Amino acid sequence: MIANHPFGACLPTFGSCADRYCLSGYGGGGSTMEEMLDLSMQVPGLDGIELVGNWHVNDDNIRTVNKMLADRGKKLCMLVPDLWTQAKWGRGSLAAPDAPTRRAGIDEVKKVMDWAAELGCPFVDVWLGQDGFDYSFQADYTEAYKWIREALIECAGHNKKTRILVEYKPREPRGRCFIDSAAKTLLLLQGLDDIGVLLDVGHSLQGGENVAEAAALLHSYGKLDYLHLNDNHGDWDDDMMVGAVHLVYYLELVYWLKKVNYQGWLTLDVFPYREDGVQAAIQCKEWMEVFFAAVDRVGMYAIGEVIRNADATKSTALVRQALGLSTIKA
Amino acid sequence: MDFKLSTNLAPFSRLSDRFVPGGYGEGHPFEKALELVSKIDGIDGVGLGWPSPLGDGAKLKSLLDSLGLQLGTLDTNIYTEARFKNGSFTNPDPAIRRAAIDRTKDTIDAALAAGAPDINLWPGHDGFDYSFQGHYANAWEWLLEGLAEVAEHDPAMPISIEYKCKEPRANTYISNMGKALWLVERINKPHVGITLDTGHALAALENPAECAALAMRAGKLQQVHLNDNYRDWDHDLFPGAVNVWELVEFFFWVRKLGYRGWYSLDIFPYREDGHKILQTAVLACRTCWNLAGELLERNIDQLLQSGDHLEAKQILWELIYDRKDTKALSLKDQ
Repeated sequence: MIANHPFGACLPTFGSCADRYCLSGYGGGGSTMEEMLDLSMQVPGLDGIELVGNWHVNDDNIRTVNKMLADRGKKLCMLVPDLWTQAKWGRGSLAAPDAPTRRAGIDEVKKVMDWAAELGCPFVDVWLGQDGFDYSFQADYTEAYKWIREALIECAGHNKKTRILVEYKPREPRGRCFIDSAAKTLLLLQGLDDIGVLLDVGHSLQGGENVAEAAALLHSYGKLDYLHLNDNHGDWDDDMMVGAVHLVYYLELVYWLKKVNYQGWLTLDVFPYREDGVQAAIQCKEWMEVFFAAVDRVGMYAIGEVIRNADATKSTALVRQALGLSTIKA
Repeated sequence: MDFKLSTNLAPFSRLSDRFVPGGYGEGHPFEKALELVSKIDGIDGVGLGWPSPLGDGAKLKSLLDSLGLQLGTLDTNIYTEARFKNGSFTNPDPAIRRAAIDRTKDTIDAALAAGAPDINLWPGHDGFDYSFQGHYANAWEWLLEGLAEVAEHDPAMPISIEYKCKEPRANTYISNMGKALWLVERINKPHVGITLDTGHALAALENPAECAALAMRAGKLQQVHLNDNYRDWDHDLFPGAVNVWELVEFFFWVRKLGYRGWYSLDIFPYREDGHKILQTAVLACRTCWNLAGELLERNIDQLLQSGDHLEAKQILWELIYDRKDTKALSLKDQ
């Protein structure tokens, strides 16, 4: 747990990460799913694991997943349908230009929803990473949004035991992705109460959002369902450790999570190419604990008062006070 | 003036990213990929990495000769192996720094045997992701030392250092033209120059034309890589896909200042057919190259000197508007 929130991690945290240059991976971590799960045991307080279709689960091993997790005392906090790990999705999944691929995408989501329901996993993360464009005059924008919305509506009705969450991201692996911001995701899901949103902190920062504002906005529309935690330099999804760059943004995010009474998962989505994954996960957790403690140090009421007065000089003083660095009281 | 265009083998290779490690397509074996490149109209050369599957510079040369391809450059591979993940020339481990130097010397030897005009050197892992991770002072010292050593190895082979602002590291040391120029000026050898990758310049929020002028003023523009992006990342799109005017302006300046080297396509067509995207890239490059030639003929330089850039823009739009058949034009040199 992190401050009474269930604490999860994406399984690749404990594997060897590759990129387009170092195809065989940077080394470290486990190679099999069980080795990676074993490593996850070394992270104190880790409650759940997020798994990706094709990479971790498939038609052959899906029945054994629960036992693998239960043996290690972990819950399955999220199952991610594979709409992006194979060449067949290279031109898109739910918004692919050809109808058979769109149909295959819908079938994949439905299948994973059934798996999730059977495994007692509450969520399925629809991340449309391949749905977008690299070049001008490459995509039919109006059709694409229609296809995505219709596909999501069809999937949401498929299995009521699990909730679809849409994860937005501005770009990568496409040069530009269709579902790229909190506001656009809300627009996409207007009137669709059965579908929620997964807020990935790094995606929000990459898109130039203030992630605290994004969280509050999503909450206002009843769609702040799940969080991915990581950090970056503000221009790309570097998937770095929590708090590596955006300390103050994280502090404000945690205030708003408490303010809107977010009770959901805090799940790490980091790519420790060059770091030990276990140590990286521990450091992320430590920072999250510190942010929650820092908000408590100042107090929700006191922070609320500063915000009500909209005085930035008081805001910056409260950041120091929260981090235990103040010489004068906020 | 000669427009020498080459490409690397990426358009005919299996291309992966971190989400699709199995690759977006099948790709072709090395020799087949070379054969496919040799069939593209308008491409005369190929840039290859070292070590090569052929294992021998002379063998490489005879294979390329038989295909009618020139070797545009030989690229020292110090970035696809996990051992270089914490840096090549700036790795805190002296054994890895030594391995990078040795690899580069091997590349120089192979380049001499293969008849390459230069070697390309991109220290992609030399940088940092986190604050308090890099020892900046040591890193730049090691860069200078290591590069000075490889420059001594055989001055007959030019070394072209390629800069890039990020990826695979979140921050790269040699990240922009200013730093690259500072570095090669410090090394101060006539055969050590700079690779200007237009996409890297755009991702670093530079203007490739200005970068070229700076490097050429110092006599240090050794090699040019062509590609395009949205100025936020090295997307490696085909040249002119996004920043068309920047490409025309770039060609204007390198032609004006008399660059004589290769123009090498460095694109990553994950989702495109290799043959077709290279044809498209050739058409885009030749068209922009020819436009730049027409601007030179119209003496745009004088308008720039007098500060009348609007007059220059009017001429540019007229050239575009009057163009009846871009394809025909692109196929004849200006």
